[in-house]
Amino acid sequence: MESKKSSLVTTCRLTIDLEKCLSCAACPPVCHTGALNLSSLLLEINKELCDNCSICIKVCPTGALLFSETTNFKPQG
Amino acid sequence: MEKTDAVIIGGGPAGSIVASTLAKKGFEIILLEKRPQIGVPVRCGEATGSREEISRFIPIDETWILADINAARLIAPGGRIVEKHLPSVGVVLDRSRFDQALAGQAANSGADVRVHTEAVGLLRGKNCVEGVLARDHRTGKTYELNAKVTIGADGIEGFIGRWAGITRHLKLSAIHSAIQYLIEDDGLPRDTIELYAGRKIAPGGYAWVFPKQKGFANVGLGVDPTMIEENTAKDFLDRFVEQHFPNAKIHATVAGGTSGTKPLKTMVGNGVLLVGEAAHQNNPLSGGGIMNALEGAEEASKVLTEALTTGDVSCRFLEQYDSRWKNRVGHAITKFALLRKLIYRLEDHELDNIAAVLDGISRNGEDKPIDYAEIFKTAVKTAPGLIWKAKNLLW
Repeated sequence: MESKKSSLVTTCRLTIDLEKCLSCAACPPVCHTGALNLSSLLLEINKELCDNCSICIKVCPTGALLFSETTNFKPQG
Repeated sequence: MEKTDAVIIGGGPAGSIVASTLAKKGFEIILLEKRPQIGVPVRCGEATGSREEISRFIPIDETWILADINAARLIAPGGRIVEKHLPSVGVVLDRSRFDQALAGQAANSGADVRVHTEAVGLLRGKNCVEGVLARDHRTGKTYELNAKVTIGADGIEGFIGRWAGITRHLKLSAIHSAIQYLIEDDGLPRDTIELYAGRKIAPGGYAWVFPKQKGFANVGLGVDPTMIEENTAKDFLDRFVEQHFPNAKIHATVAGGTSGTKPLKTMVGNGVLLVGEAAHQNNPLSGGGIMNALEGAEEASKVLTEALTTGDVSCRFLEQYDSRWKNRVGHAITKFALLRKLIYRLEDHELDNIAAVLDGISRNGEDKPIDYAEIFKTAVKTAPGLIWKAKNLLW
Protein backbone atom coordinates (compact mmCIF):
# COMPACT_ATOMS: atom_id res chain seq x y z
CA MET A 1 0.00 0.00 0.00
CA GLU A 2 1.58 3.22 -1.14
CA SER A 3 -0.27 5.48 1.29
CA LYS A 4 -1.63 5.02 4.77
CA LYS A 5 -3.67 8.21 4.59
CA SER A 6 -7.41 7.77 4.86
CA SER A 7 -9.60 10.50 3.42
CA LEU A 8 -13.11 11.26 2.33
CA VAL A 9 -11.91 13.50 -0.47
CA THR A 10 -11.68 11.99 -3.95
CA THR A 11 -8.03 11.46 -4.58
CA CYS A 12 -6.40 10.89 -7.92
CA ARG A 13 -5.67 7.22 -8.33
CA LEU A 14 -4.08 7.54 -11.74
CA THR A 15 -0.50 6.37 -11.99
CA ILE A 16 2.01 6.12 -14.81
CA ASP A 17 3.93 2.93 -15.45
CA LEU A 18 7.22 4.57 -16.33
CA GLU A 19 8.49 1.35 -17.90
CA LYS A 20 5.71 1.56 -20.49
CA CYS A 21 5.08 5.30 -20.89
CA LEU A 22 6.70 6.72 -24.02
CA SER A 23 5.64 10.30 -23.21
CA CYS A 24 3.88 10.12 -26.55
CA ALA A 25 1.14 12.69 -25.86
CA ALA A 26 -1.87 10.59 -26.86
CA CYS A 27 -3.49 11.17 -23.46
CA PRO A 28 -3.33 14.95 -22.77
CA PRO A 29 -5.76 15.83 -25.61
CA VAL A 30 -8.55 13.65 -24.21
CA CYS A 31 -8.16 14.78 -20.60
CA HIS A 32 -11.14 17.02 -19.93
CA THR A 33 -9.66 18.59 -16.79
CA GLY A 34 -6.26 19.34 -18.28
CA ALA A 35 -4.61 17.18 -15.62
CA LEU A 36 -2.20 15.54 -18.05
CA ASN A 37 0.64 17.54 -19.51
CA LEU A 38 3.58 16.50 -21.58
CA SER A 39 6.21 18.83 -20.22
CA SER A 40 9.76 19.16 -21.51
CA LEU A 41 10.54 15.47 -21.32
CA LEU A 42 7.97 13.49 -19.40
CA LEU A 43 4.26 13.06 -18.94
CA GLU A 44 3.04 14.68 -15.73
CA ILE A 45 -0.21 14.22 -13.81
CA ASN A 46 -1.64 17.18 -11.95
CA LYS A 47 -3.24 15.23 -9.13
CA GLU A 48 -5.26 18.24 -8.05
CA LEU A 49 -7.11 18.29 -11.37
CA CYS A 50 -7.53 14.56 -12.12
CA ASP A 51 -11.04 13.25 -11.42
CA ASN A 52 -10.36 9.58 -12.19
CA CYS A 53 -12.52 9.62 -15.32
CA SER A 54 -10.28 6.92 -16.92
CA ILE A 55 -10.53 8.20 -20.51
CA CYS A 56 -6.74 8.51 -20.70
CA ILE A 57 -6.35 4.86 -19.77
CA LYS A 58 -8.41 3.89 -22.82
CA VAL A 59 -6.41 6.02 -25.25
CA CYS A 60 -2.93 5.06 -24.08
CA PRO A 61 -1.26 3.07 -26.91
CA THR A 62 0.99 1.11 -24.53
CA GLY A 63 -1.19 0.55 -21.48
CA ALA A 64 1.04 2.76 -19.35
CA LEU A 65 -1.75 4.48 -17.44
CA LEU A 66 -3.56 2.63 -14.67
CA PHE A 67 -5.38 3.13 -11.44
CA SER A 68 -3.59 2.31 -8.24
CA GLU A 69 -5.56 0.55 -5.51
CA THR A 70 -7.79 2.99 -3.71
CA THR A 71 -6.63 3.83 -0.22
CA ASN A 72 -9.87 5.35 0.96
CA PHE A 73 -11.53 3.77 3.98
CA LYS A 74 -8.90 1.07 4.28
CA PRO A 75 -8.51 0.10 7.93
CA GLN A 76 -5.05 0.97 9.12
CA GLY A 77 -2.54 -1.32 10.75
CA MET B 1 9.26 42.35 -20.08
CA GLU B 2 10.57 40.96 -23.36
CA LYS B 3 8.61 42.11 -26.42
CA THR B 4 8.33 40.64 -29.89
CA ASP B 5 6.04 40.72 -32.90
CA ALA B 6 5.03 37.07 -32.79
CA VAL B 7 5.68 34.19 -30.44
CA ILE B 8 5.22 30.74 -31.93
CA ILE B 9 4.79 27.75 -29.63
CA GLY B 10 6.06 24.50 -31.10
CA GLY B 11 9.05 23.76 -33.32
CA GLY B 12 7.36 21.26 -35.65
CA PRO B 13 6.78 21.83 -39.38
CA ALA B 14 3.85 24.25 -38.91
CA GLY B 15 5.62 26.43 -36.35
CA SER B 16 8.87 26.55 -38.30
CA ILE B 17 7.19 27.52 -41.58
CA VAL B 18 5.25 30.35 -39.92
CA ALA B 19 8.48 31.45 -38.19
CA SER B 20 10.58 31.50 -41.35
CA THR B 21 7.89 33.15 -43.47
CA LEU B 22 7.28 35.97 -40.97
CA ALA B 23 10.97 36.42 -40.16
CA LYS B 24 11.73 36.79 -43.88
CA LYS B 25 9.24 39.66 -43.98
CA GLY B 26 11.29 41.40 -41.31
CA PHE B 27 9.13 40.70 -38.25
CA GLU B 28 10.66 39.83 -34.89
CA ILE B 29 9.85 36.20 -34.21
CA ILE B 30 10.48 33.97 -31.22
CA LEU B 31 9.90 30.24 -31.66
CA LEU B 32 9.58 28.14 -28.49
CA GLU B 33 10.22 24.40 -28.38
CA LYS B 34 9.75 22.65 -25.04
CA ARG B 35 11.99 19.74 -25.98
CA PRO B 36 15.77 19.92 -25.61
CA GLN B 37 16.15 19.34 -29.34
CA ILE B 38 14.00 20.09 -32.39
CA GLY B 39 12.52 16.98 -34.02
CA VAL B 40 13.20 14.60 -31.12
CA PRO B 41 11.45 12.37 -30.31
CA VAL B 42 9.67 11.55 -33.57
CA ARG B 43 5.96 10.82 -33.28
CA CYS B 44 5.10 10.16 -36.89
CA GLY B 45 4.76 7.49 -39.57
CA GLU B 46 7.04 9.73 -41.68
CA ALA B 47 5.38 9.10 -45.04
CA THR B 48 4.25 12.27 -46.75
CA GLY B 49 3.69 14.09 -50.03
CA SER B 50 5.90 14.28 -53.10
CA ARG B 51 9.30 15.94 -53.49
CA GLU B 52 7.60 18.56 -55.64
CA GLU B 53 5.06 19.41 -52.95
CA ILE B 54 7.67 19.58 -50.19
CA SER B 55 10.06 21.69 -52.27
CA ARG B 56 7.54 24.53 -52.23
CA PHE B 57 8.39 24.93 -48.55
CA ILE B 58 12.05 23.95 -48.28
CA PRO B 59 14.73 22.92 -50.79
CA ILE B 60 14.93 19.12 -50.94
CA ASP B 61 17.89 17.66 -49.09
CA GLU B 62 18.61 13.96 -49.61
CA THR B 63 19.79 13.64 -45.99
CA TRP B 64 16.18 13.75 -44.78
CA ILE B 65 14.63 11.65 -47.53
CA LEU B 66 14.89 7.96 -46.70
CA ALA B 67 12.78 6.47 -49.49
CA ASP B 68 10.66 7.39 -52.47
CA ILE B 69 7.15 6.02 -52.72
CA ASN B 70 6.06 4.87 -56.18
CA ALA B 71 3.24 2.51 -55.34
CA ALA B 72 0.67 1.68 -52.70
CA ARG B 73 -0.66 -1.71 -51.75
CA LEU B 74 -3.97 -2.06 -49.92
CA ILE B 75 -4.35 -5.41 -48.20
CA ALA B 76 -7.95 -6.39 -47.43
CA PRO B 77 -8.84 -8.45 -44.35
CA GLY B 78 -9.28 -11.59 -46.48
CA GLY B 79 -5.82 -11.13 -47.97
CA ARG B 80 -6.68 -9.65 -51.37
CA ILE B 81 -3.99 -7.22 -52.44
CA VAL B 82 -4.92 -4.14 -54.43
CA GLU B 83 -1.83 -2.56 -55.87
CA LYS B 84 -1.69 0.87 -57.41
CA HIS B 85 1.27 2.23 -59.31
CA LEU B 86 1.71 5.84 -58.23
CA PRO B 87 4.98 7.20 -59.58
CA SER B 88 6.67 9.73 -57.25
CA VAL B 89 3.53 10.10 -55.17
CA GLY B 90 5.46 10.71 -51.97
CA VAL B 91 8.50 10.14 -49.81
CA VAL B 92 9.34 8.67 -46.43
CA LEU B 93 11.12 11.23 -44.30
CA ASP B 94 13.64 11.24 -41.53
CA ARG B 95 11.33 13.45 -39.47
CA SER B 96 14.01 14.48 -36.97
CA ARG B 97 16.26 15.81 -39.69
CA PHE B 98 13.35 17.26 -41.63
CA ASP B 99 12.08 19.19 -38.61
CA GLN B 100 15.61 20.34 -37.83
CA ALA B 101 16.05 21.57 -41.40
CA LEU B 102 12.78 23.52 -41.20
CA ALA B 103 13.72 25.08 -37.85
CA GLY B 104 17.16 25.82 -39.30
CA GLN B 105 15.48 27.60 -42.18
CA ALA B 106 13.51 29.66 -39.63
CA ALA B 107 16.66 30.52 -37.68
CA ASN B 108 18.52 31.46 -40.86
CA SER B 109 15.62 33.73 -41.78
CA GLY B 110 16.11 35.59 -38.51
CA ALA B 111 13.76 33.84 -36.08
CA ASP B 112 14.96 33.39 -32.51
CA VAL B 113 14.58 29.64 -31.89
CA ARG B 114 14.59 28.68 -28.19
CA VAL B 115 14.66 25.02 -27.21
CA HIS B 116 14.08 23.75 -23.64
CA THR B 117 11.41 26.44 -23.43
CA GLU B 118 7.78 25.67 -22.69
CA ALA B 119 4.80 27.98 -22.73
CA VAL B 120 3.15 27.49 -19.33
CA GLY B 121 0.41 30.08 -19.60
CA LEU B 122 -1.02 32.94 -21.64
CA LEU B 123 -0.56 36.64 -20.99
CA ARG B 124 -4.01 38.13 -21.19
CA GLY B 125 -4.74 41.74 -21.93
CA LYS B 126 -8.17 43.28 -22.23
CA ASN B 127 -10.07 40.65 -24.23
CA CYS B 128 -6.89 39.74 -26.10
CA VAL B 129 -4.00 37.30 -25.82
CA GLU B 130 -0.76 39.27 -25.46
CA GLY B 131 1.89 36.59 -25.37
CA VAL B 132 2.91 33.73 -23.14
CA LEU B 133 4.51 32.89 -19.87
CA ALA B 134 7.61 30.93 -20.87
CA ARG B 135 9.63 28.53 -18.74
CA ASP B 136 13.24 27.79 -19.53
CA HIS B 137 13.73 24.21 -18.36
CA ARG B 138 17.52 24.60 -18.17
CA THR B 139 17.46 27.46 -15.69
CA GLY B 140 14.04 26.74 -14.21
CA LYS B 141 13.21 30.41 -14.70
CA THR B 142 9.82 31.62 -15.87
CA TYR B 143 9.55 34.85 -17.81
CA GLU B 144 6.93 36.90 -19.62
CA LEU B 145 7.07 37.10 -23.38
CA ASN B 146 4.88 39.87 -24.73
CA ALA B 147 3.83 39.43 -28.36
CA LYS B 148 1.47 41.20 -30.72
CA VAL B 149 0.27 37.79 -31.83
CA THR B 150 0.59 34.32 -30.29
CA ILE B 151 0.66 31.26 -32.55
CA GLY B 152 -0.16 27.85 -31.17
CA ALA B 153 1.70 25.27 -33.27
CA ASP B 154 1.95 23.02 -30.25
CA GLY B 155 0.52 19.85 -31.68
CA ILE B 156 -2.30 17.62 -30.58
CA GLU B 157 -1.32 17.88 -26.92
CA GLY B 158 -0.99 21.65 -27.07
CA PHE B 159 -2.63 23.91 -24.54
CA ILE B 160 -2.54 27.27 -26.33
CA GLY B 161 -5.90 26.60 -28.02
CA ARG B 162 -7.48 25.34 -24.81
CA TRP B 163 -6.21 28.25 -22.73
CA ALA B 164 -7.44 30.70 -25.37
CA GLY B 165 -10.87 29.06 -25.44
CA ILE B 166 -10.56 28.05 -29.10
CA THR B 167 -10.35 24.28 -28.60
CA ARG B 168 -11.56 21.82 -26.00
CA HIS B 169 -10.40 18.37 -25.05
CA LEU B 170 -10.99 15.69 -27.69
CA LYS B 171 -13.66 13.09 -27.24
CA LEU B 172 -12.33 9.56 -27.05
CA SER B 173 -14.02 8.74 -30.37
CA ALA B 174 -12.24 11.72 -31.99
CA ILE B 175 -8.70 10.45 -31.56
CA HIS B 176 -6.67 7.58 -32.96
CA SER B 177 -4.37 5.79 -30.58
CA ALA B 178 -1.28 4.97 -32.62
CA ILE B 179 1.96 3.07 -32.20
CA GLN B 180 4.81 2.16 -34.50
CA TYR B 181 7.99 0.10 -34.50
CA LEU B 182 11.08 0.77 -36.54
CA ILE B 183 11.86 -2.72 -37.75
CA GLU B 184 14.70 -4.36 -39.60
CA ASP B 185 13.75 -7.27 -41.82
CA ASP B 186 14.76 -8.93 -45.09
CA GLY B 187 11.25 -9.18 -46.51
CA LEU B 188 10.32 -5.51 -46.61
CA PRO B 189 8.86 -3.80 -49.68
CA ARG B 190 10.92 -1.16 -51.49
CA ASP B 191 9.36 2.09 -52.73
CA THR B 192 5.89 0.71 -51.99
CA ILE B 193 3.79 1.51 -48.96
CA GLU B 194 1.43 -1.10 -47.57
CA LEU B 195 -1.84 -0.40 -45.82
CA TYR B 196 -3.69 -3.22 -44.02
CA ALA B 197 -7.38 -2.92 -43.22
CA GLY B 198 -9.55 -5.01 -40.96
CA ARG B 199 -11.25 -5.20 -37.61
CA LYS B 200 -8.88 -7.86 -36.34
CA ILE B 201 -5.82 -5.92 -37.45
CA ALA B 202 -6.64 -2.39 -36.36
CA PRO B 203 -10.22 -1.70 -35.18
CA GLY B 204 -11.27 1.76 -36.33
CA GLY B 205 -8.00 2.36 -38.16
CA TYR B 206 -5.38 0.62 -40.28
CA ALA B 207 -1.89 -0.77 -40.14
CA TRP B 208 0.94 0.56 -42.30
CA VAL B 209 4.33 -0.48 -43.57
CA PHE B 210 6.40 2.49 -44.72
CA PRO B 211 9.79 1.48 -46.12
CA LYS B 212 12.80 3.55 -45.09
CA GLN B 213 16.43 2.94 -45.93
CA LYS B 214 17.10 -0.58 -47.28
CA GLY B 215 16.08 -3.28 -44.83
CA PHE B 216 14.20 -0.92 -42.51
CA ALA B 217 10.58 0.19 -42.26
CA ASN B 218 8.14 1.95 -39.98
CA VAL B 219 5.47 -0.59 -39.14
CA GLY B 220 2.61 0.80 -37.15
CA LEU B 221 -1.09 1.10 -36.68
CA GLY B 222 -3.76 3.39 -35.34
CA VAL B 223 -6.94 2.26 -33.62
CA ASP B 224 -10.15 3.90 -32.47
CA PRO B 225 -9.92 3.63 -28.67
CA THR B 226 -13.68 3.15 -28.39
CA MET B 227 -13.44 -0.05 -30.47
CA ILE B 228 -10.67 -2.00 -28.74
CA GLU B 229 -12.17 -2.96 -25.37
CA GLU B 230 -9.43 -4.00 -22.94
CA ASN B 231 -6.67 -4.15 -25.54
CA THR B 232 -4.11 -1.48 -26.33
CA ALA B 233 -2.80 -0.35 -29.69
CA LYS B 234 0.45 -2.07 -28.74
CA ASP B 235 -1.32 -5.42 -28.34
CA PHE B 236 -2.58 -5.14 -31.92
CA LEU B 237 0.81 -4.08 -33.28
CA ASP B 238 2.61 -6.92 -31.52
CA ARG B 239 0.16 -9.36 -33.09
CA PHE B 240 0.54 -7.76 -36.52
CA VAL B 241 4.34 -7.84 -36.46
CA GLU B 242 4.33 -11.41 -35.17
CA GLN B 243 2.12 -12.44 -38.10
CA HIS B 244 3.73 -10.49 -40.91
CA PHE B 245 7.34 -10.00 -39.82
CA PRO B 246 8.06 -12.80 -37.37
CA ASN B 247 11.83 -12.49 -37.76
CA ALA B 248 11.99 -8.71 -37.61
CA LYS B 249 14.30 -6.94 -35.23
CA ILE B 250 12.55 -4.05 -33.47
CA HIS B 251 14.84 -1.06 -33.08
CA ALA B 252 12.60 1.65 -31.74
CA THR B 253 9.04 2.36 -30.63
CA VAL B 254 7.12 5.57 -31.18
CA ALA B 255 3.54 6.29 -30.25
CA GLY B 256 1.05 9.11 -30.24
CA GLY B 257 -2.45 10.26 -30.92
CA THR B 258 -3.90 11.88 -34.02
CA SER B 259 -7.18 13.70 -34.17
CA GLY B 260 -9.91 12.26 -36.35
CA THR B 261 -12.32 15.15 -36.40
CA LYS B 262 -13.74 17.66 -38.82
CA PRO B 263 -12.09 21.11 -38.96
CA LEU B 264 -12.48 23.50 -36.06
CA LYS B 265 -15.19 26.13 -36.50
CA THR B 266 -12.52 28.72 -35.89
CA MET B 267 -8.78 28.51 -35.35
CA VAL B 268 -8.34 32.08 -34.11
CA GLY B 269 -9.07 34.43 -31.23
CA ASN B 270 -8.07 38.00 -30.45
CA GLY B 271 -4.28 38.03 -30.77
CA VAL B 272 -4.01 34.26 -31.14
CA LEU B 273 -4.08 31.70 -33.95
CA LEU B 274 -3.61 27.92 -34.19
CA VAL B 275 -1.88 25.97 -36.92
CA GLY B 276 -1.01 22.34 -37.72
CA GLU B 277 -2.34 19.53 -35.59
CA ALA B 278 -3.02 22.01 -32.77
CA ALA B 279 -5.75 23.24 -35.15
CA HIS B 280 -6.80 19.66 -36.12
CA GLN B 281 -5.49 20.22 -39.64
CA ASN B 282 -4.38 16.64 -40.17
CA ASN B 283 -6.32 14.21 -42.32
CA PRO B 284 -8.81 12.48 -39.99
CA LEU B 285 -8.97 9.37 -42.18
CA SER B 286 -5.28 8.68 -42.79
CA GLY B 287 -3.84 10.51 -39.80
CA GLY B 288 -1.37 12.21 -42.15
CA GLY B 289 -0.57 15.76 -41.19
CA ILE B 290 2.76 17.00 -42.49
CA MET B 291 1.65 18.48 -45.82
CA ASN B 292 -1.53 19.85 -44.24
CA ALA B 293 0.54 21.53 -41.54
CA LEU B 294 2.79 23.12 -44.15
CA GLU B 295 -0.21 24.36 -46.13
CA GLY B 296 -1.93 25.57 -42.97
CA ALA B 297 1.24 27.43 -42.03
CA GLU B 298 1.36 29.03 -45.45
CA GLU B 299 -2.21 30.32 -45.15
CA ALA B 300 -1.63 31.46 -41.56
CA SER B 301 1.52 33.32 -42.60
CA LYS B 302 -0.31 35.27 -45.30
CA VAL B 303 -2.95 36.51 -42.86
CA LEU B 304 -0.42 37.11 -40.06
CA THR B 305 1.79 39.18 -42.35
CA GLU B 306 -1.12 41.47 -43.09
CA ALA B 307 -2.24 41.53 -39.45
CA LEU B 308 1.22 42.54 -38.23
CA THR B 309 1.64 45.10 -41.00
CA THR B 310 -1.68 46.80 -40.28
CA GLY B 311 -1.54 46.18 -36.52
CA ASP B 312 -4.96 44.52 -36.56
CA VAL B 313 -4.67 41.19 -34.74
CA SER B 314 -8.34 41.02 -33.81
CA CYS B 315 -10.29 37.82 -34.07
CA ARG B 316 -12.39 39.41 -36.81
CA PHE B 317 -9.34 40.11 -38.97
CA LEU B 318 -7.64 36.77 -38.30
CA GLU B 319 -10.81 34.92 -39.32
CA GLN B 320 -9.73 35.29 -42.94
CA TYR B 321 -7.39 32.44 -42.15
CA ASP B 322 -10.39 30.22 -41.30
CA SER B 323 -12.01 30.76 -44.67
CA ARG B 324 -8.72 30.47 -46.57
CA TRP B 325 -8.03 27.16 -44.87
CA LYS B 326 -11.54 25.84 -45.42
CA ASN B 327 -11.37 26.59 -49.12
CA ARG B 328 -7.93 25.09 -49.55
CA VAL B 329 -8.10 21.93 -47.40
CA GLY B 330 -10.80 22.20 -44.75
CA HIS B 331 -13.72 21.16 -46.93
CA ALA B 332 -11.86 18.01 -47.93
CA ILE B 333 -11.15 17.30 -44.26
CA THR B 334 -14.86 17.49 -43.49
CA LYS B 335 -15.46 14.75 -46.06
CA PHE B 336 -12.57 12.65 -44.75
CA ALA B 337 -14.00 12.93 -41.23
CA LEU B 338 -17.32 11.51 -42.46
CA LEU B 339 -15.56 8.79 -44.43
CA ARG B 340 -13.60 7.88 -41.32
CA LYS B 341 -16.85 7.22 -39.49
CA LEU B 342 -18.08 5.05 -42.31
CA ILE B 343 -15.05 3.12 -43.53
CA TYR B 344 -13.65 2.24 -40.13
CA ARG B 345 -16.96 0.79 -39.05
CA LEU B 346 -17.21 -1.62 -41.94
CA GLU B 347 -17.19 -5.32 -41.26
CA ASP B 348 -14.31 -7.31 -42.69
CA HIS B 349 -16.45 -8.95 -45.39
CA GLU B 350 -17.65 -5.52 -46.51
CA LEU B 351 -14.05 -4.36 -46.81
CA ASP B 352 -13.27 -7.49 -48.81
CA ASN B 353 -16.10 -6.65 -51.22
CA ILE B 354 -14.77 -3.15 -51.69
CA ALA B 355 -11.26 -4.46 -52.22
CA ALA B 356 -12.57 -6.74 -54.97
CA VAL B 357 -14.10 -3.80 -56.81
CA LEU B 358 -11.08 -1.60 -56.24
CA ASP B 359 -8.89 -4.34 -57.61
CA GLY B 360 -10.92 -4.13 -60.81
CA ILE B 361 -10.58 -0.36 -60.93
CA SER B 362 -6.83 -0.44 -60.38
CA ARG B 363 -6.30 -3.09 -63.07
CA ASN B 364 -8.30 -1.15 -65.64
CA GLY B 365 -7.72 2.39 -64.54
CA GLU B 366 -5.02 4.90 -65.19
CA ASP B 367 -2.38 5.83 -62.63
CA LYS B 368 -4.42 8.20 -60.59
CA PRO B 369 -4.06 8.90 -56.87
CA ILE B 370 -6.40 6.96 -54.59
CA ASP B 371 -9.74 8.72 -54.51
CA TYR B 372 -11.55 8.13 -51.24
CA ALA B 373 -14.82 9.41 -52.65
CA GLU B 374 -14.53 6.69 -55.28
CA ILE B 375 -13.99 4.11 -52.55
CA PHE B 376 -17.07 5.40 -50.79
CA LYS B 377 -19.20 5.16 -53.93
CA THR B 378 -17.91 1.69 -54.55
CA ALA B 379 -18.63 0.73 -50.97
CA VAL B 380 -22.22 1.78 -51.22
CA LYS B 381 -22.64 0.12 -54.61
CA THR B 382 -21.18 -3.23 -53.58
CA ALA B 383 -22.77 -3.52 -50.18
CA PRO B 384 -26.29 -2.08 -50.12
CA GLY B 385 -26.41 -2.45 -46.32
CA LEU B 386 -23.83 0.28 -46.20
CA ILE B 387 -26.36 2.82 -47.35
CA TRP B 388 -28.10 2.37 -44.01
CA LYS B 389 -24.87 2.75 -42.14
CA ALA B 390 -24.06 5.83 -44.14
CA LYS B 391 -27.52 7.23 -43.63
CA ASN B 392 -27.29 6.84 -39.87
CA LEU B 393 -23.89 8.43 -39.74
CA LEU B 394 -24.23 11.24 -42.20
CA TRP B 395 -27.78 12.45 -41.82
